[in-house]
Parts: sequence; structure tokens; C-alpha cells
Amino acid sequence: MINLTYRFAQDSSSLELSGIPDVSNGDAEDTIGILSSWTLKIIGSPLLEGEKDHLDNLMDVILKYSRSYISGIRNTYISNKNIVTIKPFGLYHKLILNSTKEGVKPLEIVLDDSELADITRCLDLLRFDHRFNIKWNIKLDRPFSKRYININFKKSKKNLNFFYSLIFFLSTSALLTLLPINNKFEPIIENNASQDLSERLNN
Amino acid sequence: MDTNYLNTTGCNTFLNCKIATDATKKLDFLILVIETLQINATDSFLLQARNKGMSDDFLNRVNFWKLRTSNPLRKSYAFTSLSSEQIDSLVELISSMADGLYPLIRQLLSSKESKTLNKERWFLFSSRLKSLVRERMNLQRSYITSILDDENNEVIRELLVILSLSCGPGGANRLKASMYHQI
Repeated sequence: MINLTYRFAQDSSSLELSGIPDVSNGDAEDTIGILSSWTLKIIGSPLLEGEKDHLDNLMDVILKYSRSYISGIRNTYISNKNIVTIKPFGLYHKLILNSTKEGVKPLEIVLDDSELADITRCLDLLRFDHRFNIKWNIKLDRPFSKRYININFKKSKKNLNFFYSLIFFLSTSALLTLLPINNKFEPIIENNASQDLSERLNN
Repeated sequence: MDTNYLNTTGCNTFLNCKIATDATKKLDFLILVIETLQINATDSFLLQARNKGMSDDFLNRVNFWKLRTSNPLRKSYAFTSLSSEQIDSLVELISSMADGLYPLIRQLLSSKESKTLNKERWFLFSSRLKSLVRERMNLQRSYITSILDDENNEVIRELLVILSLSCGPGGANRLKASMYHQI
């Protein structure tokens, strides 16, 4: 049986997958139904490779991160069994890959926004490619709840103007209460003018 | 219409969801960024809409402009809101336009490019975008002043990131998901 290889390239990233059709599932000759290997090349980083589960984890974590990033939320996402992690790293994003082999140090790759977009695009191309009859363990992009967005939205982006104005109002009010007030002062109202006028009218 | 887009949005993913309050603002600003990157972008929008068989809202400049006046930050705010069909169509148009402009967007977002060249590109891009913002938006709104006064162009960068992640087969659905809230 012919081993099929398909490649998805996007500027800094190149994802290559090899496999064979699953004849028992009725796959066409050009369809990959059983994935035998995959490699992901990111320019300036070591070559990534692994089994289908690893690719599932990588796809899940990166697509979730991109989904939240498009809503302005930068959260850390960790895959099942802690194999793949992606988290914000200053202005960049850090991808951490833990090997399933013992004694191998985790691999850390720092991605900028353009590289994250490239990888996301590659993974999108793969998951919507009709030449693959593979069930990926990925949930569809769903809208977040308003509460989730409010909790997770970047703290720096929160509008603190209301909070500052409240503090300013309270501190000014507190200062004003300290001002001495003469409660015994009674204003003397002089009615001379009106009296003069009534006298004149009477005369 | 793009088949992938239909496949991903045709399910029940958007049931029990409502349009986000900032959706119209976000969409208008994304179109503004596209206009900054491409001269005569409105014509391309209308052409794409015609090719995709979209509704009358997208078939002439006036109707398209009317849609954009639903952005409350515009000088010419029309106190209208967009329907979910109009939002979905705009999302699809923005995604396909961003797809064509991806190399430019990528250049601006990349940290691996030459710093002086990148600085020049950012200067040209941000000054053109800011002039469009000054021309069309209500300058008394804090969001607008924050865009105009921000020397680090953080908001503009966020808009570019949104565009970069809206490209490709899954991009439209990702962008659409960000325009809604779950109830």
C-alpha cells in the first residue's frame, strides 16, 4: 500500500503528515485514514514530531489559545497528561512540549504573533482538509460567556477610571468633613429697607 | 459561499448566543484596518460580496456605509444595530479579505523582521490608520483618543492580531465566535 504524505506550509511553519488509507473504512486512494507520523517545522526551532495523540494535544491547545486570543483573552492552556502547554510570555507566547520519554527535558518554543498565526493556519488547513478521514479530538470554536470574558479579560485593559473617580470623590469628601464649621453662627437679617419702604407708602 | 465556513457554522454552536455589545465596533474597526492596508478596499468588499451572493446590504457603497454607521464610535452614528445575518456576512467578508492581505499583516506582526524596516512600516501603517480614525470617528470618545494617543499602537496591534487569526478555513468561525456571547 502506498504511503501518502501531505504538507501544509505557511511562512514560518510547515506541517507534514504521513499515513495510509483505512481500507476497512472505505477510504479513497488519496485519503489518509491512518496517521503514521507527523512533523512540524517552525523556523528557528527544533523539529517537532510524534504520534497522533501528540498532534491532537497540540491542535487542541493551540486552537483554544487562538480562539481566546481573538477575544482579547490570554490564558494558559494545558493539554491532557500535560504534554503540551501554551501560555503568554510577555508580548509573545511560550509553547512547552513535554516528552513522554523519561529523562528528556521539556522543549520550550517562544512564538511571536505572526508565528502563532502561521501555526494556527496550518492546523486549520489540516482539520478542514477532506483528504484526511481522521477524527480530531477538537471542539468547535464557541462563543464565551460574558462572565468568562469579564473575569479573564486582560487586567491592564480594565477601565479603572470609575474606580479612580470613586477614590477621588471619597477622599475629597473626607477632607471636606474636616473643615471647621461654626454651627452657632446665626445670620442677622436686616429688615430696615423693607420697613422704610412700608413707612414711605403709608405716608 | 465557502464550504468550510458552512460546515463549521451550520451546527448548533451558536444556539443560545447573543450578539456581543462591542461586535459592531469591532467589525467596523477591522474593516478600517483593511482599508488602511489596501486602497479601494470597499470596492473589493463589494465585489467579494457579489461573488458570494450576499444580500442587498453589500451590493452598493451607500448600504455598506449604512451598515458601518452602527458603530457607536462613529461621527455619523445611526443608532441602529446589526442583525446576526449581517454580522455573519461581515465576518465572512473580513475573513476572506484578511486572507488576501495575510502577507502584509504577517509582516507587521513579525518580530523577526528588520527592526528599522518594521518601524518604518508601522509608522506608515499607524499614521494612515490614525488619519482615517480622525476623519471618521467621534474624537470625544475615550476609546478613540486612546487609539490616537497610544504611541505603542497596542489597540492597532490587537486589531491586526484579530485579522491574522481570522484568516484561513477556520478563521471566519473563530472571528464569528468572538462576536457573540453565550446566554
